[in-house]
Amino acid sequence: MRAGRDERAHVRGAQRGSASDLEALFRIHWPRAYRAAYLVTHDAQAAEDIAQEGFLAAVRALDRFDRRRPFGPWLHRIVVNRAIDWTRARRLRAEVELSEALPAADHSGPPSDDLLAALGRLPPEHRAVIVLRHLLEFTPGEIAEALGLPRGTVNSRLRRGLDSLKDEL
Amino acid sequence: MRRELERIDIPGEHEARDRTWSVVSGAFAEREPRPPERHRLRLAVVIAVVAALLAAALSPPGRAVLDEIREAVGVEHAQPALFSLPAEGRLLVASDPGVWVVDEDGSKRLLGDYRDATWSPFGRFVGATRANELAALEPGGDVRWTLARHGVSFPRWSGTDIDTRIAYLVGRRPRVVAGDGTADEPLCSTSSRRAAAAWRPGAGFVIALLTPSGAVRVLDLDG
Repeated sequence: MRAGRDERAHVRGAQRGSASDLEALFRIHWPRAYRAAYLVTHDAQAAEDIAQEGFLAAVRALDRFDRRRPFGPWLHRIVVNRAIDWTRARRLRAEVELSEALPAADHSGPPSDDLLAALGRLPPEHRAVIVLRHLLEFTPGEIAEALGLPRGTVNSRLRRGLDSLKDEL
Repeated sequence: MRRELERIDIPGEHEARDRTWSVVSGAFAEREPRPPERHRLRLAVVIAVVAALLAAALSPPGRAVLDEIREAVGVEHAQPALFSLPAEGRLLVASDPGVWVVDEDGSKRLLGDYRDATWSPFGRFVGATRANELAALEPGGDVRWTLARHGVSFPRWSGTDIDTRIAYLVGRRPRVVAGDGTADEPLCSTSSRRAAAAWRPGAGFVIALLTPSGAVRVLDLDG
């Protein structure tokens, strides 16, 4: 409860132009935003860009932000959706191949442990629901709303994702 | 599960946080929050003026005045500012509100509050910049990817049907990124003038930059 009040105070301060309040929001929410983006993309540079874009979107929308809403879930929703878009758009580099189906994310760089490697073998959409549920602690209903999916699809992706992870590990 | 996910080691996490904070705090310092009271006052004035004009236009004397004005300036016979392009194709236009795509028949679509833009080599996408963002969009306005960079400008897209790249400036530092938004890196170690780079047409990635002293520097990125 106290954390929620603090957060609202920081949002109000940032809306009034306080850089220290914005920094407080950044310190609270950046680690999870960056981690969520990394776990979906498996690319540190992309995760940095995506988390950065999330915060820049927050700065741009600050004046319109409704202080009664929690800041973290709003930011994380932007970040995870962008991370999914990024994994889907990797093949945009070859302009003529755009219409082709996009493959599962490429795993650049060595995975730091078994869980990361197992996550990397899941389709990005399954990774995203696991990250939203188990790292960011969204409810299935909140995940459905954030990703624009039916709740049944979220539940089945969660189930299949967790089953795959269990098999891998 | 949460503890496990939080234990995963991410390379360069602290450096990434510091770089991000520098970009975010820069963007925050540049933003101009609008005082809400003045905004409300301005809105009230606009509403009052519109209501007065409407009232004038709907009253018989008001209609007579408007008719006289129309007759005097010939508004009814005037052509729209842009009703069709003189040749096939589409135009990319940058103006104060942002970047527009203008179709052959003169219809216009505002892509967003971008400052500068470039077509992709085959005209299927648009690369556009605003203060803190380089973006690749479809001409219909859907954003395909974005890259957050502080003070980005002068995007120029080039390439072939299998590999494309966008050159752009961050401040005075020239950078290049692949057409899919990956492999973003400095184009060279030196700075340039605040001017657009020029790609050599055709295959290969040869680019010309203007150095701070005014000389032209040519680089072969694959050489």
